Amino acid sequence: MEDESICIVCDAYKSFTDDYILQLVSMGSELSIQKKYKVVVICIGNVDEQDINLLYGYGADYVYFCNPKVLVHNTEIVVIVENMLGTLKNIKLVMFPSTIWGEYVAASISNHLDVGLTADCIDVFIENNKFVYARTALNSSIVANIVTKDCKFGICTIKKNVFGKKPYDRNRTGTKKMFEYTYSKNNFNEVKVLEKVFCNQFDYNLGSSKIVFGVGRGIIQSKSLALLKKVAEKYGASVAGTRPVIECGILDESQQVGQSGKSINPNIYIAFGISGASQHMIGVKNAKTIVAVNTDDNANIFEYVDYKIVADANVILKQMLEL
Amino acid sequence: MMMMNIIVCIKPIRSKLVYPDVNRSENFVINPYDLLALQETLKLKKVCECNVICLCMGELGAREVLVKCLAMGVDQVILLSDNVAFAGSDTVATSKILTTAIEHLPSYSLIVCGAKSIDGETGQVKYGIAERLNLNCIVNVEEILDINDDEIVLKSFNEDCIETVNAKFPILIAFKRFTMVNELVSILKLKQAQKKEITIWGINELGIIKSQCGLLGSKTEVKSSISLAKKNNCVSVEGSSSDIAKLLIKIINTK
Repeated sequence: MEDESICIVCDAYKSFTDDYILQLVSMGSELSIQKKYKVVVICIGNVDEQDINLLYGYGADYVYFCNPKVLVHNTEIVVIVENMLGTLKNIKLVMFPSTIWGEYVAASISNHLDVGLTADCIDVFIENNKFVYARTALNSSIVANIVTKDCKFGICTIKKNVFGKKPYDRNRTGTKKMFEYTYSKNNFNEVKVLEKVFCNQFDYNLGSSKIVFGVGRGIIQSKSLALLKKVAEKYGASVAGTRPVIECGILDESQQVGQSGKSINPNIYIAFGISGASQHMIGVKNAKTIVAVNTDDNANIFEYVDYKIVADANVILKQMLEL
Repeated sequence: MMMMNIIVCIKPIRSKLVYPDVNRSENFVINPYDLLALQETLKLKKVCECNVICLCMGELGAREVLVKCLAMGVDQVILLSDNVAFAGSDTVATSKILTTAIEHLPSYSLIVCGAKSIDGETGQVKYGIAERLNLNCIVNVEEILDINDDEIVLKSFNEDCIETVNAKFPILIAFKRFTMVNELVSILKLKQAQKKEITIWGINELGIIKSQCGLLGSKTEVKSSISLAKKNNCVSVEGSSSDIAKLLIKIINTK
């Protein structure tokens, strides 16, 4: 295929109904509109017709897939992906999820093919005909816009929930292509997994919530968490927390929002008792409406909100519960 | 057991970035993720005979970081520095420089890295080094459980589980966590360390060509950087707590 293409690479570790991959496909689809790129989704693993149709519906023009059927080490997967990418003559961009798998494969390919990699992107856009990759840096206090130089194409890993899914188009279709996997001698048996213990199976699903309440130190200090949870339940909101709150063990790790936690894009985010450090705000910047309740008129968070409320969160929450 | 060489790659960070609220006497401190990796590596000296070598890429001022490493118990330190050739290196160029330096050292069993640096935050250099040296790479390491001449046993995170992994040498590992707490290094050890020689290698000693390092060898560059976008049309909500609560409920219901 000679057309210019955007590729999204994913594995079947989590099923394709996991929003993450569909978010990336949506993102690729949005980008392709501007320049008429073809969107190629490359999948490693067990992929069925339903998965493929799902991918078409969210914007894939082509789905290339390969199911090794045996457990292969990540290093073999790199070779498979490179072979599939090699069949595309005019790649402009390759996107990976920022998972452990995605990071590893992206980094390997970046080094093999000598192309630039931008990791943990919170946005990708086109400016002056080039792709620009936005990521945080300097301990999340700034957003750096990065471009590649002297590369045939660019690679990036994208954080989860920085881009919402497009609406699903059931009428969309595309072309699929299966790649056979030829088993080569696995010379990486020098790494053996002796034991696997599943941990933290509890994953508070923040990603799909339309309304999210954020818990900051102010709530902990005023002992208002139980009250906040009741109000959240009443209005169907999910509960997220800043890093200091998570480190106290008050909320689960999977509820952490911010640079080292999750990025979320709810319709509305209400921050209660949060001062607004940039490391937290970077996780909520894609919320459509941001409200903050804080007793400190000068709190940093008020620079990032649509509605500023200088008040005691405890008092406001009590009212919300009673109304 | 034979004496094994363990190489720890560290990055110097401006102390203002690591300790923004404190005035410290040093210009540079060790990247907190690398500090944890180094501390965990030095613990191995209690259970096996090893020669710990620190490789550090940075400005000449980063020497003070390496002096601290010597005071902590590191056996040998090497500073990779070249103001002209190395400046502006992205992760691709940095991994090239570090790898070339590693190839100049005698054989090693283990290479240890931190998860990422707190300024660049990419976490990509460790993969680059492993790829260039054709080594397996185990990341998100939580703890080293056992070590002998041929292999290492460790615990590492992988997506949603903790794996106990046995890996043969040579291999590269990267620890997951960071620490801001450095062991108290005695003034005596520091004084002794300050007298020791710190090897400095630049582009000539490493024999890399200019186009593979610094800005020239980088495959990405920062076009611009902006502070997190601030909102312009903020509505300041006034009124009684009942009014405010009603407004919040209204906002929730209309979304």
